[in-house]
Amino acid sequence: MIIISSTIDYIIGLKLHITTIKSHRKLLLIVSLLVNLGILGFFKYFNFFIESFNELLSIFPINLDSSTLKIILPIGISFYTFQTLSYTIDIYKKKIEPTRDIYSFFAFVSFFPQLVSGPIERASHLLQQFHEKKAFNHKLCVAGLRLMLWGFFKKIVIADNFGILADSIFNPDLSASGLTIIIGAIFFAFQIYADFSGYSDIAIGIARMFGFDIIQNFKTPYYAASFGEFWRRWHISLSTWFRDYVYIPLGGNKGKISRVYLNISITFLLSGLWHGADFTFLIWGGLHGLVLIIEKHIDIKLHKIYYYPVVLICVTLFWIPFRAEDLGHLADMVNSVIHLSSYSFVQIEQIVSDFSMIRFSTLITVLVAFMGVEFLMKSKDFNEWVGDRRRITRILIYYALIFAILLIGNFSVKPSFIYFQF
Amino acid sequence: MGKLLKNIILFLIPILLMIVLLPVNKRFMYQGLKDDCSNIGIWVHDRIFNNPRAIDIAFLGSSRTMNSISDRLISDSIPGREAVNFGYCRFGRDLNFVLIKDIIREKSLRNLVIEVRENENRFSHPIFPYIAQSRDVVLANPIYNADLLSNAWTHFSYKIELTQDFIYQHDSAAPIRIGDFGFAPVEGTASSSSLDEIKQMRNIPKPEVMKIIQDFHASFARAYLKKISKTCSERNIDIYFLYLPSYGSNSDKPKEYDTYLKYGVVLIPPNDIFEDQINWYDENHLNQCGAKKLSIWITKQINLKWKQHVIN
Repeated sequence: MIIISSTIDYIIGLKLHITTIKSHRKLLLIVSLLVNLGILGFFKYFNFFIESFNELLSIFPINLDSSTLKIILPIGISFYTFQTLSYTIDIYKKKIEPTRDIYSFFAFVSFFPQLVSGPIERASHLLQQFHEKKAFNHKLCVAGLRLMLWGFFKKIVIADNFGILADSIFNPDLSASGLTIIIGAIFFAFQIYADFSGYSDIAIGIARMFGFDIIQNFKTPYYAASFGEFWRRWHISLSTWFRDYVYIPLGGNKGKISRVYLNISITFLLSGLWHGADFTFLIWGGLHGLVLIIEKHIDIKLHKIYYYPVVLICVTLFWIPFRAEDLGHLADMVNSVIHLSSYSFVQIEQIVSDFSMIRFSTLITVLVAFMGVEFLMKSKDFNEWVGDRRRITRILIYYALIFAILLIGNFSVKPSFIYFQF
Repeated sequence: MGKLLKNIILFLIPILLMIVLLPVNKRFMYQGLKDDCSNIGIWVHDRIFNNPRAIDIAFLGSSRTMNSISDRLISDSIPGREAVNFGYCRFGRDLNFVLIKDIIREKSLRNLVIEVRENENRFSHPIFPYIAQSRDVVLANPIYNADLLSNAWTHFSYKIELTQDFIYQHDSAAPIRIGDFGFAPVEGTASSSSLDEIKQMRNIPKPEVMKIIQDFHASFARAYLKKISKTCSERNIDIYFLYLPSYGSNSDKPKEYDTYLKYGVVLIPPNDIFEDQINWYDENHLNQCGAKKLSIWITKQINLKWKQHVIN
């Protein structure tokens, strides 16, 4: 799939560059969009649409026997499709020139550190780096190793431990109480952040060791003071992609306010759908779109210190639909959350006890330290932050991270990242 | 680049040393196998280290040994001699080495009976990295040990996990199996048609593997057999190799017959035990009836060898 998609975009890129007739250029762009989105749609959304269509028809007395297919999702399809699409669209918009070097183009699409789960790169940033001659660079190599260490710490210590707790809570067989689900959402918030940003750090670190610069994908998003800021700090490569290739082409902030709201809604619903072919992801995207519209509409003038907890609580609770197994599971959880009578600590006590109380206390201590470092880092990455310390402090930080990995890291889970499924 | 590598190595040395030298309780290591092979791991440990009863004859092998040799019957038939079946699911010569080292550390073993098959397995036993000493994992020969790196990773991450369990008082207690014998009889008889089908399939000639490749594949097992033999000869332990083929096997003796002869006596049970379909639970395992016949035959053989030994 990746070869088909890349070859088509490579050829279309060259054709777009030499074609001056507007209608021909538009046609070429449409072909690229149809092929890329067609492949993505078939592999990722075919079953979803068939199932949704069947469910819709079941409301009426119509019985269409449309069956689903057993489709294996090609690895990294959501990521490289967006990467190749941005290449064609940028050439169409004459922002970049196409490359004639097919090897560089294929390397750009399939660059191994970020192929599976991003960050989604732009040709204007990454492609030209394949044309440069690379040589060993001590500084870049050290920077890469630092980022990888930070990424492994986030993944093995924070994500995998909170993952065990969150998985126990979001197990549909548990019938979790409202309080358990809310605590589960907090655990999952840490899990998904550490898991995905950890992966991104490892990917960026590996690329940097080879002399490549990949964009920073996260900038301490849980310290964002507004929903808008959250999306400027969370999965930056995807949110900027949607901003540049969906939101702005739809009209962006221009035009009537109702049109702007519509643009926001479409963008966030699509962003939700990008994450997975399920209504739960649509709801998650929709909720984020909704709070952004509200934020824009009432032009909140609250002081940062008052608004920050609101943002954090909403973002955390919105992870519930994201983590739900399906709509039925989500409905059960929402039902539990809104019934205050079901609030009890019993389930949480049992889950933490199964996990080990001492381990949990250690994990919370490490989490506090981690969030403290994140607070100090602000918009810097770990390499820049640690690079500013004295040599002895740096070494102590490295040892602390490795000891945290050894002492509390989870080695028993199957090595996998949440965003691999997207 | 050299400077960076030097710094990384210097930085990692204390951590690597700490992991390698990390002391882990042996029982914890066996206990961690609680989800494997009907939780026999902890029994193996306790039979060797905690049970005061002697072990004079140890049987080492796979589930074929586990299901086929009644150590109780053998012990009852040879007065004053205690036989123990340490058969463990799946095959891998390196596990035999780990177990024999543990047994001789605690008990005065006199005979070791090792299961052999038509061919030697060139891979490590899956539980080897879980119960082996760090030295045995790291110093395994890298040329013919395809699992060296994965074993090292499994071994050290398992040690870290066990240390974490100890620190966090994580309850990983396994249900304890009590008893002096490891024989796990299986009842039932394989259907005649399925055994015939398997025999037919085994009769289909297969292309001969080149000698050099055969030797390379066998080198893993040979190296461990050599180590086992050395360990046993230092303590005057006699080694027997017991041939346990699958049903319908075309080989009347194991491929590595000559290697086994270098280190001990090869015991090839009579064909009537293996040819009679009534003795099989499935194509790889004897049932209780077959196990009884085989155990009686083994008892006779061991008695005979001992008499010869006394005469000599």
